[in-house]
Amino acid sequence: MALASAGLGTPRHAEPGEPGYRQWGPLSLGGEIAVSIAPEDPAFLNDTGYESSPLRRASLTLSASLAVARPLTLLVEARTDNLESPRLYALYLRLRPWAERSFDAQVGLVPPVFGAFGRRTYGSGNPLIGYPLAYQYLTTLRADAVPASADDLLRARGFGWLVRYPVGNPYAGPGLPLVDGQRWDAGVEVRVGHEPVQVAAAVTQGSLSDPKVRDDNGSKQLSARLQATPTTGLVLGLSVAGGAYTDRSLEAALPPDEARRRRRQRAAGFDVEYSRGHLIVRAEGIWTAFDLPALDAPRIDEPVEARTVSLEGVYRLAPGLDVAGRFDRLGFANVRGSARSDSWDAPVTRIEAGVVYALRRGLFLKAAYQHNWREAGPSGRRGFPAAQVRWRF
Amino acid sequence: MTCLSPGPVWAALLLGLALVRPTAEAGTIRGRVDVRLEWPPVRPRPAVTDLGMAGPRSTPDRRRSVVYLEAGPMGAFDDRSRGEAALSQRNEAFFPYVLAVQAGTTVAFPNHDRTYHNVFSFSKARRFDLGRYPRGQSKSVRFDRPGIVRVFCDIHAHMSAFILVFAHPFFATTDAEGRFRIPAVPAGAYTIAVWTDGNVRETRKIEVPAGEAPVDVDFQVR
Repeated sequence: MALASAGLGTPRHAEPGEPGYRQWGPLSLGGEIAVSIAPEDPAFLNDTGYESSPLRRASLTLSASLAVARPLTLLVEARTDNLESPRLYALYLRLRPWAERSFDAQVGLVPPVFGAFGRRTYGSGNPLIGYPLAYQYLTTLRADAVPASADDLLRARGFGWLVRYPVGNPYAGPGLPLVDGQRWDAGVEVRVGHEPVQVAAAVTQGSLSDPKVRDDNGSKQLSARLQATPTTGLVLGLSVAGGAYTDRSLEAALPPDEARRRRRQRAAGFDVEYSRGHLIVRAEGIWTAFDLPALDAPRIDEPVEARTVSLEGVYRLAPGLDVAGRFDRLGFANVRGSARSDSWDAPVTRIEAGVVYALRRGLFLKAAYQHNWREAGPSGRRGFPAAQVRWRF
Repeated sequence: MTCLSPGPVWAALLLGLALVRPTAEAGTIRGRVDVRLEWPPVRPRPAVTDLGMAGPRSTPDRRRSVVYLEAGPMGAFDDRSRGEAALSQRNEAFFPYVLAVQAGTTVAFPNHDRTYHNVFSFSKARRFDLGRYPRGQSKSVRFDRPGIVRVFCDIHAHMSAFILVFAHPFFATTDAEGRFRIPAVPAGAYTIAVWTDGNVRETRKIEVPAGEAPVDVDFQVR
């Protein structure tokens, strides 16, 4: 009688458990290498203020968790962009004092409570290469310099990547995004509850637009988030935040009564995620207002407001093959200058669409095209083809 | 016990077309696999973006082994299975951790958790993605091609399982005590192998005689 093979081979690289990351006792270590390429961006639409763009960046991220003792875990994340000195993006202690209760406290450089995209800026959380406008686009507001009048503000429309004002730091510098998706804030946060309802709140050093490790203005930011999961696959979130965003160096340049005031950023946001089968759709909206000093005529008497909405969809066409798209709109309220009334910064619309292919588990190729429309500011290329290789380990 | 490298195993599979003296009667192979490996608890990927600790999750039983004949009689390949099996998702773990089926079997993947899972595999033997579906629902995949299928969850990186798809029916998965039983094996000379957690741990030549007395084979996996 003839025998025939069972047809079973041993996987050449199968490791026991093979979770895709490494662990040694209480230490888990994971990481990601991502290399993105795109044409130059002379209009600085994708600039982040740290001389890097999500579309043109090589980054190495290492993250680790160390179960120090039963209720305590130390979490660390360090990243280097374009082979520059590594920076810490997360460094905090997670404490769950009661194992059976859904109560967690985190202390240190902590993930943001506000919004949804801030906790999924990279890795599989971002199906595209670029960021939503709210978390990346640089407005014309700065933490260390302010316009003296509405005319100063209107003159800067669309030049958030490098803006100069007569009050405060005299040198040109990058403006602030509505929410900084590149850095996290330092402080304390707590989360209570689990699905279907959970609440999180934080007290941190900086603001949404300018997170800080050390306090630079004697004021703390309060932020909170309510999240509900009424049914599997549907996540609803509401967020609020408020805190001073200008730094102390500005006080010396202001009249005494203005110097004593706190210039705050206030924000409220909603987010929705629905997924089913091979489809994920997300929406996020943010309203925010920044206080500015009322100095010269025409004065800026009211806080300047901005609104943004982002719609995103991901669909899995086949195992390992996704298509994704995002629409973004960032708008600004009007201010009245001496000659005209206009939005205080140039509104921007962005669309990005792309394809993600998994070569194997954890190794992805992305190709995307992003197009931007901005009503003022430096001219130049508005559309960007981009590609990314991402290896998660 | 050292693991066998893939080379000799593939060679053994290719040389499986060897001649043996057949008899009309069949025997049973039975025994026990004593797994003495220790595994640390699988911790989740460092989740620095989470606002708190993840909920409790189950630990899969990685001691379960699969014992199989590296080659079977030609006639055993004529009848493709139309059987069914299940690989459940429960407490953020797959159960069982290893599932052995014959080619042609349809495997259901019921979700017993309150959260979504997204079961997928990029294995050459079967590439699939079931998408997200809620608790109480199930999707199925038919496995026609022999081989090893690594199964993962796209949402929970710590979840993994194996599906071993055999071309013949002469295999068994060990029970909680490590015992196994392969019935109705035609009398003859075979190579038997034990597979534990991703690797073939040992192969052994055995002779299955005609008659009712079972052949006892014990393994120790260190």
